[in-house]
Amino acid sequence: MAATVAAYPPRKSRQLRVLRKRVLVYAGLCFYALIAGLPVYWMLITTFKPDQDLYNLRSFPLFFNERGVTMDHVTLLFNRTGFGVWIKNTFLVSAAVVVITLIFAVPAGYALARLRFRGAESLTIGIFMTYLVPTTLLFLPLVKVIAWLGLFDKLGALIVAYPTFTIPFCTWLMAGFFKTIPFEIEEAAMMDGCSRVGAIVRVILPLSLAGMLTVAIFAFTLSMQDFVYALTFVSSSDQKVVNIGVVTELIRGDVFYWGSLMAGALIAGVPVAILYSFFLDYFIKGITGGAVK
Amino acid sequence: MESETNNVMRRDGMSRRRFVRLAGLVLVGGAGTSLLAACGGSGTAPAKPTEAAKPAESKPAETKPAAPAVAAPTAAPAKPAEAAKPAEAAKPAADAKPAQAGPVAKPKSGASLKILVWSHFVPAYDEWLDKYATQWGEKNKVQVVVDHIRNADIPARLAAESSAGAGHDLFEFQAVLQAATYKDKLVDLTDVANAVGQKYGGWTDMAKNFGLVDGQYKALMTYAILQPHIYRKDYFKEVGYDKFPDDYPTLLEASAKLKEKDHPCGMPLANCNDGNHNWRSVLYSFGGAEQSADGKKVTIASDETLAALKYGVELYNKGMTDEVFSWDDAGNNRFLLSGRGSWVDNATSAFITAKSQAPDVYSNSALALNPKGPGAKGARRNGVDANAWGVWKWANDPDTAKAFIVDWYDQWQEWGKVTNGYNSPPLLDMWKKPMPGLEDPEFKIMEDWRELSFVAGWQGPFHSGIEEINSTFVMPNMFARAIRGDGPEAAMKWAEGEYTRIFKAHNIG
Repeated sequence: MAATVAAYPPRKSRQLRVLRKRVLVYAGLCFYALIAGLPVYWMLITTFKPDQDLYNLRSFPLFFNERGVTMDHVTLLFNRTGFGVWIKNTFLVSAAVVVITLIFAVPAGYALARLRFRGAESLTIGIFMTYLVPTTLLFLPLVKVIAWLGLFDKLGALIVAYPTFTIPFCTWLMAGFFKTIPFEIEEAAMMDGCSRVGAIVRVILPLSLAGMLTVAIFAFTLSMQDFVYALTFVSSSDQKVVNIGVVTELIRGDVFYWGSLMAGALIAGVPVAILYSFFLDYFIKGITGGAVK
Repeated sequence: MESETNNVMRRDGMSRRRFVRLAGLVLVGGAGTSLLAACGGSGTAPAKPTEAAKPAESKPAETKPAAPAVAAPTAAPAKPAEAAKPAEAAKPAADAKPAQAGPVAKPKSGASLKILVWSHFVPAYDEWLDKYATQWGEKNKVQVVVDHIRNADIPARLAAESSAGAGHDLFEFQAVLQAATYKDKLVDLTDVANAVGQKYGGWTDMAKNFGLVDGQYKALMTYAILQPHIYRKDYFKEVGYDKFPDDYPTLLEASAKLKEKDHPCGMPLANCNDGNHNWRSVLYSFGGAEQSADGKKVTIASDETLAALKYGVELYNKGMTDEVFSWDDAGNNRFLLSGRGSWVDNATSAFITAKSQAPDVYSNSALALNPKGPGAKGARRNGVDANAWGVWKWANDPDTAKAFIVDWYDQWQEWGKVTNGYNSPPLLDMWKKPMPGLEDPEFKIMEDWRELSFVAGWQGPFHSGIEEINSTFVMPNMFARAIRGDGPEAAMKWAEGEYTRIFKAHNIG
């Protein structure tokens, strides 16, 4: 009996081990949270910090310094640039791109995952590969198409151009996601009288909600991140999107309006970060869906 | 059914080799298609060797005289270049055909004019230009739109517009002149050059060859951006200098003392415009030149270049820190505004910005002339940036664009004033003292700059080869190679190879 008791570690030792594990886990988490959060925090401080403190090497960059807080950068952003219009354009373009991407990527992903034809797997990878061709290489030939469509210097140019990189990636993502849904479920629906389309609409799509949300988030953020197409296809101030507007109008030659730049980035970025947090579970499920079968 | 299901659900096996092959094919295919499409007749091919001047495209009979000049008009053609001897084939049109001067195109009522310019360092200039363009449009019944973008993004935007054959009508090259690159797509502005040149006593030596391609002005210099030395008076005084050193050896001595006091100096050793003209100033001041006066022979390998490179190595080792390798165009501005830097070589933007963003720095700083270079060929020479107007051939109405350009030059006093002389004029009569915007004693020194400012390719014309050398930053890379361990001789040899290769690609020489 005594020997059996001795086989278990003492209770204190177990508690210590658990504590040590937790401390390590939280230390790691804190470290990564710091890495992720620090730039955002720095942006926030810079947004409200006077220029004289920003450029002073003796001023600690992560705190407000002797001159306190200023609203000058935010005022400049809203009163002297077309920031409001850029934000509106950004959301308009991104929303349109999400809709177009879903319309094309969902059926294409289904076809690649489910329909029987030779080389489906190779085609899936091939489609994904087109996503890897950089926009810096594609913008010159694509601009001819945009001009031919009569969309040069219009928001429509971006709505047409962005799906060229969102659809391939999202098709690949959806194909991976559809493969995780057992075929038997769809088959059972068809046995119960559903056509293939009916089975897709009634069974597959509701089960693919996580995947579709992931695709929507990806398409939205990819549209917001693009620089090259936004720069080269659109230049009128009232047609600019936010990522190009703040850079083209708040960097003047060799002078950077740091406070206003940070304010612009922060105001445009925070809503998307909040959106992400709402759908985080779906997002993780969607992105890892194709990993385990 | 089971068999069918298995068939449908089967996993297509794919070997790693097959995957890599497929990926390679897609990438090569994509890249090839893009390149073919990009190159297909879009006219970004290298320029041919200079040819005899072609007749101007505009029709003088349909034009009207330009608006009265603000300065006293003069019919004298531009004086021949003093320091530089232009290439025979690239003879300035103002000298070659003075008889053409006079009538210039008039704006077409009901036309539209879309203008692309950089987001000017001085926001007040953008506001002035927007307002002026609107007023000009109302007066001439032309719908004018002015778009502003970041200077670094202009080449990409122009590439897109060139490929699309659409976009703006009139635009401004900023520092990176690509007149030769797009020569087949740009309207000949020789008639405008002649008219404006006659009105203002001729173009400055620097402006004469700028934008001149095959004897035609494919671009016209709007203004140069001078690059004075901006230095801390208090720091220099601290190490025993009451004013900024007048020659390069003394500047080296002072810089070494300043670095010891933790006040290094800085010139970018990176791919940026400031890197281009900062190190050109050193090279030219030492007497080194990139090409012969006719622009046909590479002359970068010389004793003067070697001396300049050795000086650059010493200046870096004794006076700078390694952050200069990572600078962009804003690097030296931040350096000065931080209060640590003792001197930089930059446009007045750094100095003017300090007034509002770092008043302590501003009150202790001043502008200085470029130091004199040593040796028989040494002199005071400043490498500068310059901007230029260009008009696309597919412009809604090229004559309207030309008329706008002519009238814009007539506003030189306004844009001089509003920019505090940052826009340095390209025409001789505009250099009469006192110059607008330079009334402040701090800026007075800029009135003496005309004789010592030079664009890239000094001693010869700014042709397509120099355009590529400038836009691929060969100059700062040569100095960076010398400093980072290759040594001056090897760096100079490398640069000679680059210049020769690029000249050959452009059929020059």
